[in-house]
Amino acid sequence: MGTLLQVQELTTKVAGYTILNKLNFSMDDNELRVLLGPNGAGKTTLIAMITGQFKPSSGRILFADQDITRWSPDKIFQCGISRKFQVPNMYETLSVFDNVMVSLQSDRRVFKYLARRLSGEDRDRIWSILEFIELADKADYPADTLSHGERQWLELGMLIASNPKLLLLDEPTTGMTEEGKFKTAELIQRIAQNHTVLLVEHDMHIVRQIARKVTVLHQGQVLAEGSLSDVVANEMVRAVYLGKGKFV
Amino acid sequence: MTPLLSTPLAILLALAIPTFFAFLFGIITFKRHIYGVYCAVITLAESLILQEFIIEYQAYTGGFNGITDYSNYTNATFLWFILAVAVFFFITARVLTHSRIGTVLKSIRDNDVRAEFMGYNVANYRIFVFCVSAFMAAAAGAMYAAWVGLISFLDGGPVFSIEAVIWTAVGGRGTIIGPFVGTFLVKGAEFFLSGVLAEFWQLIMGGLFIFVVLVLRDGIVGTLANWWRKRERGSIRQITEESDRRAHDRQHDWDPEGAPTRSTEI
Repeated sequence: MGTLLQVQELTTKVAGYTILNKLNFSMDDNELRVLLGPNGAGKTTLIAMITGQFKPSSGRILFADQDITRWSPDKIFQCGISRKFQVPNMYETLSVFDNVMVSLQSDRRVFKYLARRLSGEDRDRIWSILEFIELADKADYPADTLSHGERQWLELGMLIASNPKLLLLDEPTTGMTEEGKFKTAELIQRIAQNHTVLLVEHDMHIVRQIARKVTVLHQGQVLAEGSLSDVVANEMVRAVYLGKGKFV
Repeated sequence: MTPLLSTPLAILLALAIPTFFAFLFGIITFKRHIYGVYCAVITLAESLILQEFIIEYQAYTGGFNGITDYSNYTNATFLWFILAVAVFFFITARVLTHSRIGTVLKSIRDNDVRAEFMGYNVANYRIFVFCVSAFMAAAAGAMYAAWVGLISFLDGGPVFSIEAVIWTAVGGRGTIIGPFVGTFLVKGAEFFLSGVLAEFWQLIMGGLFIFVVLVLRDGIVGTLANWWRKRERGSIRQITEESDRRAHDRQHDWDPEGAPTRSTEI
């Protein structure tokens, strides 16, 4: 188990405010890590930095021994980092099947794509993913006819289709019912069996359900790291969350 | 200017130069993440620049009078040739939109941010379709010049571009047959009505455009297609209701052995 992702001294300043402050963070291969922290701690900003949406003020991001700090989003994706947005984000007018097809791992260059046909192997893979996310009998439906929970699952399926080394999931259970959240957490655990996953989550039920290694961010720095019970017992974490009652 | 008198070279340049300019302008706009309304404004500005350029360089372009002193083709054979090219481009466009790259292009139209974070270089795909469109427009323009026998600054200006947008809007955006239908209808109406209502024709065109934008948002073909789809598959609401019903049925079909049987009374 080597180190897959390494964030070194990452600093981000937006209009004079420091969002991330010399953040050091690393993840091993095949790890399922939960990222916690109060609002404004820099969780989403960290994901935006890793995926190349925003550029950091200073610091480095290493992924699989490559320096990806200032790469464009599509290039970062191609070296194996997929991202789930907080709000479901898919292609509304395309069918569920096509949504997954477009996300399949492939050479993304225009002229490589021109002559490409869908092989039987690809087709099988799409169907198995649709079975996995329980949308197989809605394969022909336009994506904008899906319910909110189904959209979240479709986007997870699209990420699986792209076969990434690292999945960044930014609050994938937002706006779901308790039952939906539970099922999503199960789905994430199954994904984590053969992928590295970084999960941002607010809901403590889900964090308990998944409960492996937890990292707590606060004011752009790592406040605590370790198993869930260690982190919950941590005095500083309690101080940060005090009054919110989340860890009680 | 002898090399330009060679017909094959003229045809080649008529196709290559616009495509090259589309590539150039595509890089300038799409690589800087400019698209949508802003991109439309920029292309209009570009056609204005071209128009000014034609008026300014009178020695080469004929200035205000345009170029008239060339032999044009006004026979039935050439008309058939134009039709053949139109059919060829129709098939090309259809194949392109129904291939995998077509699906990628649609996905970029729907949600370019998601496509970018799915590893697609959105700018390159936009430049590619922009060049394909420019190539088709170049062929159309070359045949137009060869047909009418008069080419002036007006043919390079924004008014002509907007007219093409109106044809597309009337016929139906998002379809391939739509622009064909729209062009035949609008140009046909112009042919029959401009003799009677010469002064009002442009007014009618403007009114037509406003009407289409406000009422027939998907154009004639799009509206017909929507109506047909509703008849065949039901509205979006019916589709979702059907899907809910199926999910509900699935839950009730699930009857594991040993579970107490559901009573008939509720």
